[in-house]
Amino acid sequence: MLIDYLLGLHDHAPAGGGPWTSTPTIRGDDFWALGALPPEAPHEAIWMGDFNLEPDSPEYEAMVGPKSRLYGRVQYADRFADAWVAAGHDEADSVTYLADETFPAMRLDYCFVSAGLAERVRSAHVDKDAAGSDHQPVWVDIDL
Amino acid sequence: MKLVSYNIQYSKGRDGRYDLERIADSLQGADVIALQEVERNWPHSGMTDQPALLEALMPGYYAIYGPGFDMDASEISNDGVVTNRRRQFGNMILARWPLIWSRVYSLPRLKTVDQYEIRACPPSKPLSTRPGPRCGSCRSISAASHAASA
Repeated sequence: MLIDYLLGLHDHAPAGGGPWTSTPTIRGDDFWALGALPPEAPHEAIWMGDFNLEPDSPEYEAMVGPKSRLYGRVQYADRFADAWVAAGHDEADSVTYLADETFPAMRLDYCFVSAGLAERVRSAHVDKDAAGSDHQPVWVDIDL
Repeated sequence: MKLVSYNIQYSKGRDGRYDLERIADSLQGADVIALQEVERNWPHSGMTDQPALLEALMPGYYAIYGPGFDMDASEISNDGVVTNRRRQFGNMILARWPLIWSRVYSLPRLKTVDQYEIRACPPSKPLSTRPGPRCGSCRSISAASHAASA
């Protein structure tokens, strides 16, 4: 499943590091480092895009956790939060693809933030007026 | 910080017209922009270089492009000179701060799928610090994906 692949990338990012790692002075030169420290691959991440999934799908559940009948989504510490929901909206209450001759109205476009960033989300909205594409822009205001 | 994700459908609007300026206008005020379906060298968008055109339309932003789709679109002249050109389709990230490093991943199994991931350096100050020009390069951002449904 594609989401498993994405989550695998996320899980391994800190251990994998950035474009170069380690301390260049071990080799006695500064060829790659150019005087800088190795760039990190931090665990916290924001994933935005057209995921072509809908909130009632197993793919969405893999991203944001399973739904408890009584308590809502279970947020796991090493998984993502749907910024739309973190901003106070219902996960099903959004349209990012307007109905056309081919497809019904759908919610396909997301901003997922790693769990540690969820409480920093202030607000989110979909620009319903944009007419430049068959999708609508999804905006998130986050305190970073 | 204002984030926006937009699948621009190679700038083809609901009226059928291709207009990248209209796309840029709808991104006004964003700090970090994740675009999907940005392309190069396709006949329907006039064989244009959309990443370059968007960079020109949004001169205050740092930008990177990562194609998930890449095919030959080159030409060779009668005297044997190759004009290298790739037909591409992919994702773009624009930000008000430098995108320190990037890496492009292709999602498995699906043809026109791509996953574009970048991670800037981690915050050296508390995350609640409002970004300024100097700490703006210190943040963990961001990935855009365009995934065809399985």
